[in-house]
Amino acid sequence: MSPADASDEQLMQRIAGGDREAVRLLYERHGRLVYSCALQVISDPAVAEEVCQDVFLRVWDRAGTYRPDRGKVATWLARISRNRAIDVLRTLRARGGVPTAVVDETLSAPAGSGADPGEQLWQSLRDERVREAVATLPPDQRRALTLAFFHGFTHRQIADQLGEPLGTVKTRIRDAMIKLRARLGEREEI
Amino acid sequence: MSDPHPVRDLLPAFSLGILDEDESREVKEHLAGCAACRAEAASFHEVTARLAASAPERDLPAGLEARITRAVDARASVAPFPAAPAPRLRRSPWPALTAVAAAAAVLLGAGNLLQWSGAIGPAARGEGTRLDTAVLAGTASAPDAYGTVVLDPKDNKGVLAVTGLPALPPDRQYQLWLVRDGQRRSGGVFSPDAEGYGSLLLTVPADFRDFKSFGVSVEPRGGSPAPTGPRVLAGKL
Repeated sequence: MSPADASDEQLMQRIAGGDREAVRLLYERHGRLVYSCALQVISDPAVAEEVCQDVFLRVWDRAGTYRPDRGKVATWLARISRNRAIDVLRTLRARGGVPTAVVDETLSAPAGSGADPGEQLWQSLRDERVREAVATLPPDQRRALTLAFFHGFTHRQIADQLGEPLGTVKTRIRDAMIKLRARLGEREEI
Repeated sequence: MSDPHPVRDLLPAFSLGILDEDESREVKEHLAGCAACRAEAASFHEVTARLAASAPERDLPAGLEARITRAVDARASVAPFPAAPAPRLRRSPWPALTAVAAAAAVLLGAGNLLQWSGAIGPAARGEGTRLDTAVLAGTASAPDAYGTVVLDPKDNKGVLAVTGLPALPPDRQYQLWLVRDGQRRSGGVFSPDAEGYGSLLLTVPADFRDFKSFGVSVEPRGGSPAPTGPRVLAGKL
């Protein structure tokens, strides 16, 4: 079998064995996903490129730690890219280098009004099942999840920004994730 | 009775990567020893991944592929790992465990000492459990280094203890390799202390007897999928 015919999992094994061509093939298949995930969090394309490169270097360094039983390669890459982008975003934010327009917009909607500008971010997602699952969340949960997922704020930061008690914010995010897990899981079984 | 899963409520936020450092450390420590919570965390990781993977698609910038290829080439171009050489090994019952490995037990701390006293209990009681021991000798890159790997096949636990290792720059760590038919599986990474002592608790693969040799090499921090840096220790089972 030529490397081009290999499954993603087989490519990961090849990479773990030091096959550089396999990294190129993985990039060909999933580079766009990895870059898009980073760009969803970081609006600066140059920084998103750095994140993308970093993700593939991590793949090279740690392909051996990938466990097929814990999820597909594509979703694994997506999570690494998003979480790496969040790390970078936090560093930039600590230096004051991040525009806060989206956050301000999210915050400007009065609680309970149902007018969540984070809505636009969620509705931009490609996966209809994900969009639908998010849409069923109560507005307060969705608002907290927006700040957590797209902006990587900690519980404390979200509580401060929304002017809500810390415990309430923790519960909202937890409940939101539990609901999403249930809804995405249910739909996959259909 | 204390809660056996004290971090369970934090797992959704953990998967989103939004915990502060202390909380995150607490979760990781718990997950290391709790399969139920690892499974729970994995289910939330999947949710985060599904959300992330649904990002609107954007066109890849020109030149990014070439940049990544160059970066990977640079990472891979470090000197190749030399073939494993002749080793020394002996099989020994627990009482013969070397002082180096005993030192490792001390280095590993009280919690792990308890774990180890459980693992070695039968031998200590004279029931004849045999532990497999491999002695690792320093190479020309680290002539003063000396190490021992002790494997307890019954408990799938092992420990590596090393002395005399040269200090490394902050972006490098030592990595243990289990070698079988020329293929190398990582046994984990570690950093020695200022005195050159290093130790590593490892999970012994069920087929560990197929792994005839051990090696330790210098790698980028976090480890490599295959050896890339100079080998500092080698030994055989």
